[in-house]
Amino acid sequence: MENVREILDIIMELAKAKRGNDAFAFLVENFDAIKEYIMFLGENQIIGIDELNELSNNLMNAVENKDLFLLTDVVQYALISVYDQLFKEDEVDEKE
Amino acid sequence: MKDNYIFNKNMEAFIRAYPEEASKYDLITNNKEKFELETVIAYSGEEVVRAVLPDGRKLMLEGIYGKDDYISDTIKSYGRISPRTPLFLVGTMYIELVRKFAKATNDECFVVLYEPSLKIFDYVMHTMDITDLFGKLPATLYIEGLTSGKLSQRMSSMFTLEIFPSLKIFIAPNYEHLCKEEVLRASKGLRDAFTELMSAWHTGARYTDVANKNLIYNLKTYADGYNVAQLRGILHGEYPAFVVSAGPSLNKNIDELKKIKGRAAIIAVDTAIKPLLNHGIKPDFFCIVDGKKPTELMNHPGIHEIPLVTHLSVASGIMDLHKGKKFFYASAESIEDEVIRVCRKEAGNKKYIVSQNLPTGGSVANTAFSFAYFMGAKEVILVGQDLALTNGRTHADGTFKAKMDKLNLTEDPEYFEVDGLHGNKVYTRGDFDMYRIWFEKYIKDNNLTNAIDATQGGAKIHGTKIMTLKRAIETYCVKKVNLKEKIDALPKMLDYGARKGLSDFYYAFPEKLMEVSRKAKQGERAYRKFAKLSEAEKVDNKELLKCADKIKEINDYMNSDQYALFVQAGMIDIDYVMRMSIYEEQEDEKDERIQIAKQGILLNGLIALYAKTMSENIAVIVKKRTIKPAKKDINGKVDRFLYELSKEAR
Repeated sequence: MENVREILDIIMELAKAKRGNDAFAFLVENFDAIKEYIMFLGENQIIGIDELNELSNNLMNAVENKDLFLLTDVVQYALISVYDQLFKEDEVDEKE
Repeated sequence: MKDNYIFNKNMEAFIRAYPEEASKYDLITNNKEKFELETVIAYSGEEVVRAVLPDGRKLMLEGIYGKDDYISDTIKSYGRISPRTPLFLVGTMYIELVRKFAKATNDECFVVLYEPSLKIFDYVMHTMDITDLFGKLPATLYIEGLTSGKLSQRMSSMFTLEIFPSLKIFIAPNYEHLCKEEVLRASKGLRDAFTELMSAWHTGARYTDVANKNLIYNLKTYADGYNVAQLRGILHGEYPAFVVSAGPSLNKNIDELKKIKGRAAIIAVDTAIKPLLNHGIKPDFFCIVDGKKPTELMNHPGIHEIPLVTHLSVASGIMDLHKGKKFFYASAESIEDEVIRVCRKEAGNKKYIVSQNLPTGGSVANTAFSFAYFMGAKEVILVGQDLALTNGRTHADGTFKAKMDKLNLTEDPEYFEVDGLHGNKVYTRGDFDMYRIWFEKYIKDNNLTNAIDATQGGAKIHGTKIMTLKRAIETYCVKKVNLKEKIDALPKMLDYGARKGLSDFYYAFPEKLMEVSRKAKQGERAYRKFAKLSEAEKVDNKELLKCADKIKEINDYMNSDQYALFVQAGMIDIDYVMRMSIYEEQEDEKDERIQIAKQGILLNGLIALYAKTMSENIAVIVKKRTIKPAKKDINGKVDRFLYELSKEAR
């Protein structure tokens, strides 16, 4: 879980560099960590079950269709965005 | 979801702004694009679109999670967007990006929006209100299959050389998979547009260095010249004019021209003059526009008898070689306005001392064509105007070579096919095609119905009637006209007074340039002070403003004084460096001021140097090539009065 943000960042960097094959390969390589993160979101009811299914489905679609744009959409605006909302808030809480 | 209300609203605006494209909209129904579009529900609840490829692959065209954020982030990634920044965007679906881009620049931007997919364009027309794209937004739209002309031409007409370095490019997601060929072609088009701009700039550079020199040299012949304004309407709408170019097909029908026998005006372009004279055909005029045309092209003993239509920047070697009558039209050099002004000021008869422009599309044949209409030709008949590489040749035999070389057209990407005169396809090249497009535009803009193409082969010029030369001569050359008599009766453009004005201007030229040099030195000093004040820890605003005022004064002078502009026109190499850096953004205001000062020091320093060098060179020319008004130039009573008052008479 701790290094998932780093993994997501690397995927984004590879995608921005238009290294689609490397981005997908890296995603597959680190799938367990990402899966764990998505499960964590579901288990802690951060996202609903429908959203969880949708998210997994979209990620799978990105991989199956080799759709780099969909991959970046999911990673940037779903996974990283939620991560930052969760853990940045925690950081603020801790400081308080 | 497709919405007819939105579609109708868009269509109404589309027809108004892009009538040509709108008239072809039905082509969308015959679309053969091999993907389908379907919608999915985004995280926000709205519909987003994706493409389904024949192999079953599904590619998103909009984001499910971050549709709007993606656009905002793209804009953010551009950093501070300066006014005049150009954007090349592929995919009408991303019109929101154009809106945000325009907002960031207060609508001071240049956007070319390219849509390679008719299917996606139709989807956008049915689902998004894009009426602002058809008027309000500073964007031009190019739709593959609907918009005619080359994309690269559209881009080079929108993007100027100085804004190219800050060009932003956005290609909508997955378009590289859906419309791979078109996207590749667009990127090639972008490269071509840049190459075209660079080549136009190089052409300018190639001619500018000689244009100034030619202009000063040619003032001597100008003093004895005529003005094309004297030929306005000379054909009274009663006689036809033949514009003879030296396309490869001229070899086939050149002898037919002998049958004209004084029943039309024959205007030869520069390269056609020798072949015509060699075939015993004497044109009534020949035109030259080129500042670097080789003198050998005109080297024919019969050339002096043919009046020349030309301008001040034409190659001085040819102007000196041709001893006959010269009719001047306005060159693009702004210093010519000053020449006209000083001549008119002193002239007894000002009637023909005017800056008479002849519209052109860059080729001498374009100029000859508009000249024919200027003379009031009843019909204008083009001959040898191939605008194509007929039989793999660029020009007729006997122009540059006795027998022209044959080119390999199919293997060289420089050559491409266009409609031929007889429903066939012919090979052409970029410059020829540009001239053809100009002819078509000139015909359309002036509602001309009397332009005839009697070229035996070559590219089709839409708007002209196609006819054989033999038939054109039989049909239109029905009345005798003695043009020579009319031309011989014309007085010279400049009378005694005007020549005196020209002479004063000519001899004062070197000193005027020295004045530019001195002003530029002052400008350089002001910029140095500006840089020093800007670099200081604590800025002295009062001094800075004072200095800025001085700089403004010098800049105003440099931008308006004809002599200063003359010097700068000759500095095109330097101009390139300045152009490329003019819109570079600096970190903060202080850096920006220092950068401006550096450019100002450099530019003014160079103007000072150029002006001084030019002044010295021109001093040598005016000493060798004298212009002196004499008693023989007296024309009319006012002129005689001026002469009697002058030193020459006493």
